[in-house]
Amino acid sequence: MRFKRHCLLLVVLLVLCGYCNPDPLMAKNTCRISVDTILAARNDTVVDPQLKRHIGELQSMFNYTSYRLLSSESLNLSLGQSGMVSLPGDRRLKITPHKIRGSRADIALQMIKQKRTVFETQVQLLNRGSLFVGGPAYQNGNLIFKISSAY
Amino acid sequence: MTHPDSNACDDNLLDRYLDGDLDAGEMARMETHVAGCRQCRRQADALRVFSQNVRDRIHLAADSIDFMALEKAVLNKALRQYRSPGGLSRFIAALKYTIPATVTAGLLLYFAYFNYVLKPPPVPSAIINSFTGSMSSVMIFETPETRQTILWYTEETDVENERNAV
Repeated sequence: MRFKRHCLLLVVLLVLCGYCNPDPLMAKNTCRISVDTILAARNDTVVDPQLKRHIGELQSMFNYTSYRLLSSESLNLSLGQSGMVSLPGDRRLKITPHKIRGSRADIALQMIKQKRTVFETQVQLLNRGSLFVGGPAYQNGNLIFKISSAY
Repeated sequence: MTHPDSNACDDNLLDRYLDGDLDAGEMARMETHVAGCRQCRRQADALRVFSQNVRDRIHLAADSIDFMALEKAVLNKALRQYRSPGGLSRFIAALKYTIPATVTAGLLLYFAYFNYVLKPPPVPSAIINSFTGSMSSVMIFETPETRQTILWYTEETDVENERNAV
């Protein structure tokens, strides 16, 4: 009886440890992509509270004084499925996760402005990591797109 | 042994008479003797009173004893030898708890160490395998500490804003 109880306890612990382990034990076939659109400018010193945690290091690299979160959008995409995110300035970002290998996801990004493709890229994005894509001029500053993945 | 017929007093016979140990003939003779002998009658009365006092005291003492507690104490004493095992048995009994506790603690330490203490050095948040497009300039770099990958580009129509970049 006690032996059974100990075995049960051990199994529960193993399950818990497996659940807490960040490395996935089973292959995932869906990927959650979120795109935050940030306007970086120099006309004031406002930094949105929800951005402070993410752009702390960016502030030391760019000479912008304000960071505003313009929009935030999330997509749950299966591997091979494409999703589109609308961005300011008549831009769209097409996102296609292709494969998940270990802690990285192979993702294709296509930036489209009006009907013209601005760039296409293939990236390996770290699980719960972010790629900052920036540069387009917008209003009095520049747009930065924070593209994150989680699976 | 004094014969009752001698009509002499006999303490031994009187004790047996009082205890009811005489046969029928002896009993009849002794009753006749006691009825006629004042000394034996007084002695018999004194012995009866003494016996009654002793019985009363025994009953009194017996009533004051907690037999359940006494029984438990006796049983505990008798079973003690089975309850206190030897060194090896005690060691094996202790293992029943020690091994699961040690395994549990080891597992928790293992996962805590690898997940929270032993943090791997930061790797680039994104690796760019290919990049094509029509733009004025592109820069790919990463932040020094957390190695956040940054892709900075200037659209063809935004050349005048290039100075806003890094």
